[in-house]
Amino acid sequence: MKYSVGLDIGSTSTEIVAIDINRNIIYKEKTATGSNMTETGNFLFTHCIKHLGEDFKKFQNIVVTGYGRKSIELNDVEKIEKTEISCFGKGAYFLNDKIHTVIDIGGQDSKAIILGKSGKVINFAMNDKCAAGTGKFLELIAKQFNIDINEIGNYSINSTKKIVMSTICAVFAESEIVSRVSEGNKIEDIIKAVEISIAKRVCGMASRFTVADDVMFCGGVAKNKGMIRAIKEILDKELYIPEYMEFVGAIGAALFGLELV
Amino acid sequence: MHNTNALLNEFYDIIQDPYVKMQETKGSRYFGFNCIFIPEEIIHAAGFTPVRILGVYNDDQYNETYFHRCSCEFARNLLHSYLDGCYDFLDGSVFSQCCDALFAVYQNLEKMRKNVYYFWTPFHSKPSGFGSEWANHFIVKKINEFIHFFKDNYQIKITNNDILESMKIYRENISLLNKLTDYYQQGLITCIDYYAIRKASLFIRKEKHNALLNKLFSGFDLTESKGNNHNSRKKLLISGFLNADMEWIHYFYKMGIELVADDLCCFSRYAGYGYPADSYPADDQNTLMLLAKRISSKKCPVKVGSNQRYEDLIKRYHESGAEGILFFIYQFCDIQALEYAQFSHKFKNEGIRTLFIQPSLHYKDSGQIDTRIEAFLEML
Repeated sequence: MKYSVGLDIGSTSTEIVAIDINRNIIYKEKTATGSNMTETGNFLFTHCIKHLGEDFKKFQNIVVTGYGRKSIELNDVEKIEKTEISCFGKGAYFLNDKIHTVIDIGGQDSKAIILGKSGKVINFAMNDKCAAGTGKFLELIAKQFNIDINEIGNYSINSTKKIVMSTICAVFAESEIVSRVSEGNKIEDIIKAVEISIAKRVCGMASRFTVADDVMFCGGVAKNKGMIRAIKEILDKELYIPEYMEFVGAIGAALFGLELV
Repeated sequence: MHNTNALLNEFYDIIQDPYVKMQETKGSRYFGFNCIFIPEEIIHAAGFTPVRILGVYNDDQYNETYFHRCSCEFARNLLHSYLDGCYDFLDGSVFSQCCDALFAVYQNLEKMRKNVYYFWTPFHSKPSGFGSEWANHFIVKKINEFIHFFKDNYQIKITNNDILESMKIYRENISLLNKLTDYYQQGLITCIDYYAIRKASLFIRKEKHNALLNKLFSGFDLTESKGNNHNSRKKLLISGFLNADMEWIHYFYKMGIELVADDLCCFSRYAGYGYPADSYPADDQNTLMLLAKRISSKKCPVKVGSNQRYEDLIKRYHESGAEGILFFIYQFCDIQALEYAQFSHKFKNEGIRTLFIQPSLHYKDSGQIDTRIEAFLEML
């Protein structure tokens, strides 16, 4: 059996996926990226080949994507680089071939990707240089309220009052949140306001294109139930959340590698 | 036959720290200008070297002293460069109303520096806006005032013959640059050399640029390709404001892009428009009108209506054989950014792929810019 390995090195987390020639996902793992991308990438890659065992020698390609695709050097293996835009498009289409729009919210950026009929990327937009439309904003808020980042999505369901975040900057939003707290607002209402604020930015970016009904929401932030609700509310559309929402980029990378086998 | 590399090095030498060299040069007279809508021939006819003002500081921290951070980085750079004395070697400067930010730069400099002039041209509006008969007559009037500015401030009397002589030199320059473009498109010159040669024209008198170009052409080996492998590189048309920054040209080349045509403020928008052929050569009666018509033929989003701009871009795109259009606009340059917003859907409907990037003037090392460009190239 031949394999292809996809490695997605994001600013916050790194994911690895191995796919066999029949396009079965046979291995996946993720970890925090940390400060040393090469170390993290090699750590996951070593785990992956250990899992593949003897079959390791048969794997053909490793495609690296994500923020760290250029800087990483893998031990004894030559990498192929591909952007996360193409990989997310490829991975999304593999997981659901009806998908037309992919929304990915990562730790450092967010993306809206428009797919053509065969799953090829035909347009995209990225929010960068600003944390307001990214998972980093949620991290800041979780830290401020001393809430586990994995739990923050459960709060806004209990929101009863609409609050509007007036600032467009995640850093300045921290001081606005302090003001909202001092006004006596509930944490649940403030978190909901933050989620809506992120969703508005990302959906506004996606709305530069025609957003069809088949929308996939993926990336680490897609685990957050509050964000799912917020994006649904803003787009007024059902969202497809893949089971492997954090691995879409790595899956796409591995699929690109498979094409070269 | 001349040594082509030695000749190319002359152009590279001109664009290397041009303002520092000018500061050190004794006896030359320099006059700064900031915009394509300035009648540069008048500055030339007055005996000055017209110098394109591109700003000096590449470090963002220097540029917040006078302007708020969330404003045009180019305007911030210009004002700080002037007030810090980087342009003290200039005998004068002329600004045109590209936008409110640059108007603010002029307003500040006018109070603090000598001989800073403002050259008015109309905006696009109907029925008497930019490009109309009324607007051309208005520009003629303004050119006359500009001529008087030299008389009043430098006691230089510019005659019609002086202007005609300058126009002849500028006309030759346009023709030589067109020939250079032909050579570039035939693969006889690299993308980087092509833009470096054109950039050199922003800092020297055009007769010198013409002489260098003629010398270069006379030594050109027309049989040897300089490695423009158009098949393996992605061919793009670039539009916007690059501020003639060669680092970006190198960057695009490194990314596998061949900039087969441009609609850039310091390149094609600046030198790509000639005098109307039907009324050239000029005589005493129509000299200034020809200058005005050349100015009003230039296609910049600040002055020209969207239909004309769109048609101009489509024409460039098809003629160049580009595979997509890269809109490169520095942060806070709202006029040009809004133009993209206006055109992006039209291009999409035409099946033309476009990418809009809005980098910082001062910060080039951005993984996110890499990702956007690479993803765009993968998409093509």
